[in-house]
Amino acid sequence: MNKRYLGVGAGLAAAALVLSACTPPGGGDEGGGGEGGPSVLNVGWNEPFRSMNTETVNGNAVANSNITYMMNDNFKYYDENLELQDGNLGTVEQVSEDPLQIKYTFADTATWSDGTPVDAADLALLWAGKSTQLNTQSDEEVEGDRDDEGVLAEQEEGDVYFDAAEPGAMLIEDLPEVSEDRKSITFTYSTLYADWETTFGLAGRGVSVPAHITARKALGIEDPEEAKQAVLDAIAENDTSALSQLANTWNTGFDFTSMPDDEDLLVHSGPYKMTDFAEGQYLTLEKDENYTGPTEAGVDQIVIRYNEDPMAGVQGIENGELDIIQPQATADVLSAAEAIDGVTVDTGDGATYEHVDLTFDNGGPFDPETYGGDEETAKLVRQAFLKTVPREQIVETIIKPLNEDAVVRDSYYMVPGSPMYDGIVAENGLAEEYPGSDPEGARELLEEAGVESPAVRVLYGASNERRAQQFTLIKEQAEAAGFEVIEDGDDNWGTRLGDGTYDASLFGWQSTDTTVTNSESNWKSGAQNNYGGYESEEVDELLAQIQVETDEAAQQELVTQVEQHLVDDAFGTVLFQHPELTIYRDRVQNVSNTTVSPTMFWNYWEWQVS
Amino acid sequence: MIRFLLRRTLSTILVLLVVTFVLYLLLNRALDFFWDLRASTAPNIEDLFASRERLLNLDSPVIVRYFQWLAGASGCLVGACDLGTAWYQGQEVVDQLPGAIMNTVKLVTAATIFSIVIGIFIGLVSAIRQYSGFDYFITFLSFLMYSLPVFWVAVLLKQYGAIEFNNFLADPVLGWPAIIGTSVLAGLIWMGALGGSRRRHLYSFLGATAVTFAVIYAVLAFGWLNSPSLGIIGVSLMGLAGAVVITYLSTGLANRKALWTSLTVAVIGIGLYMPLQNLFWYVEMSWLWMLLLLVVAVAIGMAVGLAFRGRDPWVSARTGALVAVVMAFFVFVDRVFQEWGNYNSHPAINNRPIATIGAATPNLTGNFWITNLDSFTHLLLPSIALILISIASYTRYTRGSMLEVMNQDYIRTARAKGLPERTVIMRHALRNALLPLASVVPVDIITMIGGAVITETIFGWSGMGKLFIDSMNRSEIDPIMAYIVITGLLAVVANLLADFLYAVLDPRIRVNA
Repeated sequence: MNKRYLGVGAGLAAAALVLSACTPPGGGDEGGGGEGGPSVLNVGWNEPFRSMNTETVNGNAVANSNITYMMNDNFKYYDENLELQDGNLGTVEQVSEDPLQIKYTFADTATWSDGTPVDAADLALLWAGKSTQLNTQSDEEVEGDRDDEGVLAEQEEGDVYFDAAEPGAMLIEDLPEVSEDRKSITFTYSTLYADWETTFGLAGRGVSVPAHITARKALGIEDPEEAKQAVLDAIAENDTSALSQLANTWNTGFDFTSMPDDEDLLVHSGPYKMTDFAEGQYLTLEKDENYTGPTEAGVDQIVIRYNEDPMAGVQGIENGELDIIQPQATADVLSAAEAIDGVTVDTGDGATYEHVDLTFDNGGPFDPETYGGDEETAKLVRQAFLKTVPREQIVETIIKPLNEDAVVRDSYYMVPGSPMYDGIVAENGLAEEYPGSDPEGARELLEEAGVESPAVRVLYGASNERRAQQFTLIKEQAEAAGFEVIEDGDDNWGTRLGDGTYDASLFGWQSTDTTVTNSESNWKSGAQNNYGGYESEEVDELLAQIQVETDEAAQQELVTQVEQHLVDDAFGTVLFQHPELTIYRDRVQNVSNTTVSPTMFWNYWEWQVS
Repeated sequence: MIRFLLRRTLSTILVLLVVTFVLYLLLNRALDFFWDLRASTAPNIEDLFASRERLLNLDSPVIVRYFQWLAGASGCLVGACDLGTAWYQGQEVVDQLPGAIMNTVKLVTAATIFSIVIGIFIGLVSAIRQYSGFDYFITFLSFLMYSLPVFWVAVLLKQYGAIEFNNFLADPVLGWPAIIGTSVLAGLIWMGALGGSRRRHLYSFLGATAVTFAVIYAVLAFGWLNSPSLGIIGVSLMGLAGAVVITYLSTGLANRKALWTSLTVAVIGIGLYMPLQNLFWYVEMSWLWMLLLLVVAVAIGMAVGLAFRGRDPWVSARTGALVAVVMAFFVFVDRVFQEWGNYNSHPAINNRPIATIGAATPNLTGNFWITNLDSFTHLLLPSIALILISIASYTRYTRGSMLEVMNQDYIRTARAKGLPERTVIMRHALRNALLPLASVVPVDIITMIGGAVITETIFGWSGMGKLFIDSMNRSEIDPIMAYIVITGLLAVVANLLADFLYAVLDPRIRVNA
């Protein structure tokens, strides 16, 4: 009975064993490049890349420009001391001062990775994109062209809309002048403009996307030379049908969140090429062997791995999966990172700074209306409040543990350590007027104003622990001076800015560069970021002058004057630069950080791994 | 039946409409579409605000925007799906979903299966040994695990399961106290689980302690951790042991036909080990191949069972198929582990195999086995985090309903008529005890596709949970709506499935309109 089947089974097994007498070829020899493999650097970042065009409103983000900074050459970049340096794409020179004419000359080595030279056509297209001069549709008209989800629908034939805008480029109203060999291009500003150096070609923004690829995708012209010429012609002749197609491609055609099939999208002008991009996971850059420019990158392969959890980043470092990270700086992250062997933790200033703004137009304690239009009384109350804000104490107790070198920021405009900072701070009077923790002085001012225990509602992000601590310190001092401080912690603080339901707000501003026109919308009358409703004709007048002042010394003088007004009018006060942690394993050398974008990537070519 | 389905479908549609409408309004109120511009000091900030307003069509009333969204989404019914755009990413929602669903399924499948199987098993044993030390221990442990916050577990797992473990792998040496302590603990657990008389207690304790000690010692002494593989001997031993255990649980060793079947299947599996190695070497494998081989294995198992005939051949066939699956599993695991050395020394791994972030090592090239091994080293920790927590609830469910069933009259009757304890527990008690689970498990499985938000975030898996939370953080309303529709639909389907399953398992219940 069953023994028979057992016999069959055993026979089968035996046969199989015999069959296998030809032992399988074991011992794989693949994998394991061992020594001599490419050098790999793993960088942790919180937010995935999403567009090669960093000039559109939506593509303009550090997650994008960090990558394009390594993939493309540029005209200018910031070094660790926030000094503007010349990039490898070519030179920028001021041809004439009035009218302001700027000439961009491309280096001979400036080449796109498909062999086409980087030239005037690329920059002309960028100008078309950023200047808004060629848009036939105003913003309102475009409104109707959004589809159901609000995505910009393909514009109808003949309608041109480049989804970008930049104040500097918008001042260039005339067509740029392109040299015969297209090696140089000259822009003429319609007015003087202070920050002309950073209008085009700054750091990760480079010259943005290649003109010939844009034309190839938009107009179907395969030949790069013809494509470039077509772009130039379309711009010169204001050919709206071609321009509208170019604009459509320029706006969204270079967006992708995983490795694109279309290699044209990856055409770049810098030392690194993108070789892999797994959605939401990682992005790989490899040294491009065809790159002929002067930038000599040290690491063969840079992998950007995405994870937004700061502690996950630190543990990734400890487990050797990551080499460099810049996580959100908290005391937990710092102590966890410092506890790891073989890891360096650099603390420094980040791009965001904390500030206190007062509201001038809500019928609150800082509004002249409250006192029957008595400007002077309102100003005294404001000054009194600012005198109590314990700036030094906040930095000592909250920021110093994270960044030993942290200082109180004493300028509304400039980051500590930037070229103009010391000169401005010496004269703006912020440090002298509002050193903070001065309830006595504040009480005197309140008495002088004749206002008794004014109630101040302070708005801040409730679940931000650091802000809550700051609020507590501010509250202590202000109450000592006789203010009644009403806590208004709200996680939706962002949507409430400017709605007049609070009297003082505590949050951060991010600086993207160190130009003198940056952040003017914080105090210009009626400007977007002027949430407190501050109005001053003198300041507006000075801001207009700054805009057209190209001489640095004069710029500094004007900025100082603006800051003096802000101090005098008790506009608000600034506290400190957010700390930034750069954590890296000892196998990486030459890591350094700069305050503005592209932060730790700024000297990527100097990175070395061992 | 059809009326029942129709009514269910109709009510589902109504519920979904109301839910999406209310949620759209709430989200519109709660999300800040300008969050990334709030702190910007860009000189052209006004243009940026205006551009965002245009991009999201914020000028039209929210009701209008809802119906625009609904129009696009209802296109899915006719095959023209338009779930909108994740504006921050500039990506169509329809393109985002497949990848996210894939990753989540990858992450939760193994975790769900393991937690159900292990959870039921532990719950069962714990119920049989009610009020014993083992039962209290399990109760304590499951409540402890149930109450653990997953983010904390995840961080601890990374610290000890990855970082410290990788350090340990570099120099795998354990102190005597650790080895002896672990052995004694294992001995105590087995003693509790096996129960029985005082003497049996002592024997199980000594036996389990000795076996654990020997295993740990052998693993360390022979450097198994750095070249882990079962080899033909390991596969043979585990396969034969598996055959005996499966037969014991499913039919009892008294059923000789079934025992012979499973042993034969195990022997055939051992015999096929070497030929399979050849196949794996010469042919590039894929999951399709694996599935095919699994089907062949099951077929062989059933064929052997049927060939042994006997009184109920299908019982033998079932046992044979189960053993075949187990054998296939061991052979697969063995093959994957053969790549360990290559994998471990790969420069991208650098002898730190257990990963803490992501779903795969970037730029790791290799064959089917290497990439799978890589998947497993990445799946390990998040799976453990998920299993630890959901195992607890299954244990409690099983224990509770098992105890209820065990106290019923028919169990006493079954015992009284002299049935062996195994039959009473496995056939009479467990089957009925699993009924309540039938309504829990489908819901659990399908809602797991909704993603494990925290686990995915901490381990950097871009699955559904991560998609949801990221979209929340970026104020992208369209992906959130898609997520809500999908999870809502799945929840409805899961409940429907549970109803049907219940009816199938318990003939007393009818699915009625």
